[in-house]
Amino acid sequence: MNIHVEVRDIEKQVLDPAEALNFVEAPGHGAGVLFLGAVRNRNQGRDVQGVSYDVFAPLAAQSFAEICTEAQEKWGQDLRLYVAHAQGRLAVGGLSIVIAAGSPHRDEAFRACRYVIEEIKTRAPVWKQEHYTDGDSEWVQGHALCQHGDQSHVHG
Amino acid sequence: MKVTVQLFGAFRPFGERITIELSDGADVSHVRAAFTAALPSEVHELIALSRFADARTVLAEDAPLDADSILAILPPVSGG
Repeated sequence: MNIHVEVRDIEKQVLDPAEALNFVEAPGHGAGVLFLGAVRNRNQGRDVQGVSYDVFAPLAAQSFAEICTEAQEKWGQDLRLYVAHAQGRLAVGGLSIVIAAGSPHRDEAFRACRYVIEEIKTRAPVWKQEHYTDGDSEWVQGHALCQHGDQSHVHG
Repeated sequence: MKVTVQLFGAFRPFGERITIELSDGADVSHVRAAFTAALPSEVHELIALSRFADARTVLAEDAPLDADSILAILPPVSGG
């Protein structure tokens, strides 16, 4: 299998970029691209202390797999892809998502990695609650889903 | 028939899940109406922006339901 997708309870095990890169390596692959999403200390003018990620895990894993399959259809079946998304609370700097793409040449790997993160942001059932330094918390407004998981541009 | 709706994201303050009693033959639109009636008006706009899903797919409004279905309500997403 050349796709790995996962929703990980990060209170048990943090996300691991090395694991992602190892997965996408192959003898015929000359390129490996890694994307890391991390919690920022500031968003929309507010000081952020941490973020909690809520995930509908079975559907999220399925949406990751669908998106990776689409990337392979676009950029080649020999593309290897790794996606792991955090579930739980992270402090500033904590990794929320790790994506890696491996392919024979760099163009496919860069494009596929970018495609996977952009599609996940608008299609995967994941929700972010920001915790601010003043003690307040808020669910971040996001992208409304369409029936087939495409973004509708209604919100966010 | 009974339909269970799991709550995520901004619906979490209302609990882990809500069980709704519906007539046999109900579809997703009936779940939406009953779910909206069960929650306070300040989240009705959010419900309108949300979709219902099962563990495999986001459901159409006219999708039929089995007895004892377990659905999830998905507010606008913000992962990554």
